Amino acid sequence: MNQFRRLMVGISSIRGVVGERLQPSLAADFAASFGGYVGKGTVLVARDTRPSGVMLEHAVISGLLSAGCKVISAGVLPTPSLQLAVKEHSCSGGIVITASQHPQEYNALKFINRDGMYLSDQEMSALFDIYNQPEDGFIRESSYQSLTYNQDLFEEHAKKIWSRIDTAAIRAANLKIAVDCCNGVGAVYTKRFLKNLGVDEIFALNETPDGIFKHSPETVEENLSELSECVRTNQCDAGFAQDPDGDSFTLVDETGHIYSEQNSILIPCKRVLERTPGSVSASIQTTAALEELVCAAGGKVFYTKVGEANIGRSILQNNTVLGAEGCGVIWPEVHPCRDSYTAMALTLEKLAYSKLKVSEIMREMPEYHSALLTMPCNAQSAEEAIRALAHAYERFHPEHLDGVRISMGKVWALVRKSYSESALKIYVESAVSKADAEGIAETFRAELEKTLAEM
Amino acid sequence: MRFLRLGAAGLRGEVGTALTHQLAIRYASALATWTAVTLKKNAPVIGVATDTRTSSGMLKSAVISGLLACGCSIVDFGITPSPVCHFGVKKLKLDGGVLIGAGHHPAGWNALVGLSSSGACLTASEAQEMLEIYHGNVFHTAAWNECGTIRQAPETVAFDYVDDLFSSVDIDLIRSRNFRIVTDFCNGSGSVIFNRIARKANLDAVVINDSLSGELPHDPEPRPRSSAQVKAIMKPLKADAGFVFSSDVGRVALVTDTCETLSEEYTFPLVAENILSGTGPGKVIATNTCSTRTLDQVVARHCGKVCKGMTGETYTIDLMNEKNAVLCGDGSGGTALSASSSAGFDGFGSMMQILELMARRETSLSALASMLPRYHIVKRTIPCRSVHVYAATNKLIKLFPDAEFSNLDGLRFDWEDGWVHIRPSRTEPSLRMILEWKTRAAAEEKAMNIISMVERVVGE
Repeated sequence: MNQFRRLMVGISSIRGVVGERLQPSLAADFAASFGGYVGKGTVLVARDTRPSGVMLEHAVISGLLSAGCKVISAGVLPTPSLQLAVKEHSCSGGIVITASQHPQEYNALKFINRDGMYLSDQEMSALFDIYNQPEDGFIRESSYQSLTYNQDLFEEHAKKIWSRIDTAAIRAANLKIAVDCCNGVGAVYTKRFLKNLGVDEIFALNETPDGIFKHSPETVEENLSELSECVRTNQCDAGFAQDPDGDSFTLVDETGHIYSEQNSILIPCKRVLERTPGSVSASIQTTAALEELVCAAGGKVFYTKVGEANIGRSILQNNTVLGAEGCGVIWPEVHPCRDSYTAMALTLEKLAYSKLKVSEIMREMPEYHSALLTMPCNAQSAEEAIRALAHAYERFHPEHLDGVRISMGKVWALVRKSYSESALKIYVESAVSKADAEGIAETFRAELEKTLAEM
Repeated sequence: MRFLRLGAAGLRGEVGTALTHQLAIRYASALATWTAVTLKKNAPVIGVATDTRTSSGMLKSAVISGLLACGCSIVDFGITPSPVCHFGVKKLKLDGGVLIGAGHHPAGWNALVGLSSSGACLTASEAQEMLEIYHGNVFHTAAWNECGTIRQAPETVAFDYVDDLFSSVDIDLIRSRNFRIVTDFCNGSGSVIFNRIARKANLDAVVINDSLSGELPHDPEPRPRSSAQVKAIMKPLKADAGFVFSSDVGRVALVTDTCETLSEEYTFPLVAENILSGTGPGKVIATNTCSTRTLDQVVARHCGKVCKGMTGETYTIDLMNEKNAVLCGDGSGGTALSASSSAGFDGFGSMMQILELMARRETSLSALASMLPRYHIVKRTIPCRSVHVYAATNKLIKLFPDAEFSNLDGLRFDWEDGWVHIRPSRTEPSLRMILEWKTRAAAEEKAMNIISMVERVVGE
């Protein structure tokens, strides 16, 4: 990666490599600006298990206190638990210290607004505006607010889920579950969470909460072979993988088959639609299988730009029963945020009610094969190439929400600019076959390369 | 108004305008880097203690983040009196420490003080190295997996501190007297361990201003005017002595059994009287150039020797070590014993010495005070705009050709019957004048004359 682009100041967060760009002074200053942005009041602070978390936590707390905020420090806590707590405790906002699925040397500050949702683009630009103003002094000694600690916030989150799920049915199903906690927040909380949901036997992997990841933390197939094996050896009913801050979720079936992040959301989504038929909010990058499920249940999909903040807003705006994005399920009954805990609970309830195996449920789902290609490309050229591509495919009425989405019968493609690197991402789904998806992705790549060469 | 002081005595300033989380992170990073380089250790262990001021929590978080980011691990002393932290850093063999707390500074201020592995404040030369790193702004930054961790200081540190405190006095003698005392902790950190001291020394203690709120009930400098609350209850309680501590317990002023509030200048001479009693001649006592002549006379009476150096706790402690002195202190009410393992001014230490003196002589504090050769001290501030203050001071050098003159630290002029010391204030746009003369009338008259002469020179 370009050595000059090692700090990402992006959607709802600032992220960088600790010891290089992400220094305590930067974190403290952003936290102080955030304190100013939310207008003082109470701010919740939480972190995942990364070794740099304690350092950044203290930096963030000092910045928030300097801005006149009252601070509640929650210690190690899943991102969704913090988002919920901000709302339930009527806080002014929250900061989570986690680089989520990014490698262990990274860390990030994620900014949560008073509704418990990630800051939107507009909110984020207001925060930058404050950050970039010349400093006009911090509060004086006489105005300091308290720093308190709260260790119960996961419990509150879990109770909200437990009370909505039929734990008796899950208990009756005698389920055996393997879970990969990725040495993250799950290592602290997940075993007990599943036990209380009624899971009979739990096999936890990577359950040392030290942030030293035994495998790359993205919840994708190549990182989850150990989980797959654990499911097979112990004859589990299913396997769950969490990312380090507990928002993303991947499903493994009883044979050890690892579903893609896209397909992992289908069972929990189906369960929500069974409980409360209705419309759904989903990012433009969500599998077409979900749209089929929603349409079959008589609802409609409201597409949004990629990013949890956008889906959350669509849920509130359109009063949808569910939100979805590649690697996450959003169940607004608990909170409009991506949450691996609600995803696991809904999956288990579906398993218990259907009395079917995971693979059997999945066989009934609409099936799409996907392909993903990444092309290095600077931001400006990427935008121009996307415009050219949209023009060429005008007959398919492309969607322009985020990059361009082109639906062509049994195949659809999304071409968009990456948020985290200088690249174009080509995502293709085909109802026909994997080879078909890959072929079409290659075609798009060739067309884009040609356009870029001509520029 | 001057807002920030950075030097051997740490980083001190008005919170929010000058002393911010940013400077605290930078100071901690510089201290961590200096410690790592000096001790050739990749991951030093640093003790952190705070007082109770409301901004101390913010500064603590900032300091911890700076230290962790530079690979240091933390031993957290929580709210702890500074002498206990000085002691603890040494006792636990830590690589350094940071004291966070305003001590005697007025409301609105706070301070960070770096400690070396000896538990003492950095010496002048150590501080210079550390400040070069601070100003260079390049630090010993740790990689993502080398950030330090935090653990709590063991409870036993406070117990060991109290044992150490008692080892320098005849504790059984003090116990046998069952003194009734009043202590005022200015809502600072002193009360967290005082109960243990009182119980083990068999003191019948009445404690006031012992909440940990950090709200100042009076001027935090131990001075006669801060002693009003203690003074008011001494008589009804029939107390033997009153002790008014600074909020970090470094300094202490005394109130006698007859309700006289002794100037904070007299704490040190009384401690010296006790230390020098029964020792042979030739013992050395270290102080600064603006402490009372009472001290010189007390020391002379015991055939000891006074060494004088720059004003400030760190300089005075350095001087004690350099001159192999048995005791050091100054006119602020702070003293430190060389025999004690605490490496800073220790108000509890002063208290124990004075109680021992009362017990040994079998007499009251008022009687001891009346035996001191007394001078009348006048302290004044003379307004002087900040930018001109150093130039103005230089112009004053030739003011009194008839006096013995020293400019070791500020300007000191000595005459047969008294002396005057003038230096720029470190916190305000003014000159600080201390003057001591044999009688009140003479002192007040001299003060008036000198102030008008100084104002004329400063006004030019």
